[in-house]
Amino acid sequence: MKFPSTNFQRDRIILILILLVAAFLRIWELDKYPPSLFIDEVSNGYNAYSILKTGKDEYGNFLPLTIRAFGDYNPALSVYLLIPSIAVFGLNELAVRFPSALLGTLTILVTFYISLKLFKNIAIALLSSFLLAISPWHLQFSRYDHEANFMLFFSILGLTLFLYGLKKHHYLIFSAVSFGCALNSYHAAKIWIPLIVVAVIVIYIRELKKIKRKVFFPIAILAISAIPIFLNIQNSLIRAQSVAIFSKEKNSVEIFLDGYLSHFSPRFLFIEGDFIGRHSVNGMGQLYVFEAPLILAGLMFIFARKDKINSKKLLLCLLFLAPIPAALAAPTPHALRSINLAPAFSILSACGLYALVRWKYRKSLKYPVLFTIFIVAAYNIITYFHLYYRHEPLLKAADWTYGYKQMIDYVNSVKKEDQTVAITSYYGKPYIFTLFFTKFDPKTFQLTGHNTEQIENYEFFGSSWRKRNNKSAILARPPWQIPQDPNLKILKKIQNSAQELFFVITEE
Amino acid sequence: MKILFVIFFTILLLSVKLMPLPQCSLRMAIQALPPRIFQQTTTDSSTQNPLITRFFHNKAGIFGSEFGKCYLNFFDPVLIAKNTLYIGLIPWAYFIYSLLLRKNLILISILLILPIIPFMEINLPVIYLHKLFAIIGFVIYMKNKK
Repeated sequence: MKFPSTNFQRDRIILILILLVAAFLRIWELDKYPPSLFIDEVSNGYNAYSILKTGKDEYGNFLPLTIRAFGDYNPALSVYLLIPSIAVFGLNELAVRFPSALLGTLTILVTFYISLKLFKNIAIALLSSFLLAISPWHLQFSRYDHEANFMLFFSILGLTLFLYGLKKHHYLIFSAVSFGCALNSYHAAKIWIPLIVVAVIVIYIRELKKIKRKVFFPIAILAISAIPIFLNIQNSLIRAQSVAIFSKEKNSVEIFLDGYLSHFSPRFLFIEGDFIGRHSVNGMGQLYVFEAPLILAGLMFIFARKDKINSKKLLLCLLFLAPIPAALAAPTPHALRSINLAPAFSILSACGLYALVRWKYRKSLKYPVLFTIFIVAAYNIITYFHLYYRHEPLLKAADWTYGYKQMIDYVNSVKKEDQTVAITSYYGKPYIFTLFFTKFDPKTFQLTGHNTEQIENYEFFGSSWRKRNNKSAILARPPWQIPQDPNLKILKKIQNSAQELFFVITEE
Repeated sequence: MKILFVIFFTILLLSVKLMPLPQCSLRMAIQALPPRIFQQTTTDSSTQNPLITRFFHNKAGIFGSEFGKCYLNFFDPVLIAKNTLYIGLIPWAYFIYSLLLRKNLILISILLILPIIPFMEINLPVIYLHKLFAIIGFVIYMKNKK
């Protein structure tokens, strides 16, 4: 891909710097921030470990096309992408999150190329990639192993390769492969990919008609990539049935419209963000406040241009189609299911900033406006990082199922051989945390027939646990399950630096 | 014929039940200051340099955030859609687009000042203006349509 620029060397250096910043922000202390692995991350990680060691997932399915996780069946690609990372780093937080961080960084590079292709303007392309590199929305999910981030990377890559493929036709094959990967990465992609593929075909129909024969093979690849979904269609629909609005609500059309529009709510975008704890930082929206006027300026910039009609249409399609998968489910607004909005807003903000810098009228107003935006931006960005690294680990520890690792590490260090360890299931599915943090042999676990009530000496209980023999046992419970007994031997309390108590470990 | 469409659209919009703005005012923004300051400075811990704590967590910033919530309520697309029967959202957006395209700074300034009225607890039904903007947007569109 060419790099059209008047100052090639300078622009290449700027791009490399942006990528380094993006990589640093996504990889630095990845094992500590967010404060712990969420249950889905643990599940993905252990299943990847299990497939690496035995070729089978935790349920004993050989190289599954969908991964069963707590009653849902998820597309498997994101789990398979963890395998090389776990092979290199071992089964730990860094290994689980690294692929998402890496693909998040590569998304910045792809956003650069798609902006460059859309607007043929190096400044807009560099600004788009920079704004996405520091975007709270994108950073939040790049540091979190979630299939949505993989979907975002592959779908943006697919779009970019498609645009370059209109001239260099072999790129269309890679575009189809990327879209196929996106389709097999996340549930929402089953709605998103068909929508965006149809949109690009409609927008670029003239160009595609000229290369008719060269389009058949990519379409075939796309069709083949949909086979795993159809082979597991019933299992794939389980998740949809639990969250979709049309299966449950009477006034579903109104709920869909409200859900769709809520993704453009200024409060969601700039002030409060997603109310799900892991999806945003307390006290901030999904985007920076300074991006609000830039997005408005960007929209004006796009509508005012008489050229690049197809580019405008594609960007607007990205913007207006992205919330649809999220709006079809509850709750809304949902930052994860609408993650495809993040690069669209970055590109718009970049267009707006470019338009403001190039503004020729009322110059007396231009420089004070730019200066104000710069000051607000600097404060906004620094505050975000302060909130993310200082406040979030304390305020959102429970959202990230904090405490399991510390509890299991401690219990393993003090427990005697054959001593029973009983762990509460209050925080949800303790078996998977035990498997992960003890690096339990997957083959042994598969042979138990997926027993989630007991793993060797580890037992998992609901509201109470009954001892089966006279031997001492170690119990790990939340503080409100601890009996009022002055003779109770408390070994350790697992709490975070905000003194929030998660587990009390006792010996009985 | 165009006039009939405009009249029909106007009647339709005026018949829609009004959805009020959420309760949000200067008084509430000021009331939110002490608990938010307490929560944020406590989270920062006492060992942190007080200047840094003040830099990130101050009354101006928190008031700005509370004011922003109240201010942006006026531009909430769900609220506008419910007050303009959803179909009115497009002419509403067209009205804003026309204002920006014509660089009508006076009207744009008035539009930007409007959300401050309910914030100052001035009892003016500014929320009705969304219907008016949608109607004007529809009229501009019908006028421009050949």
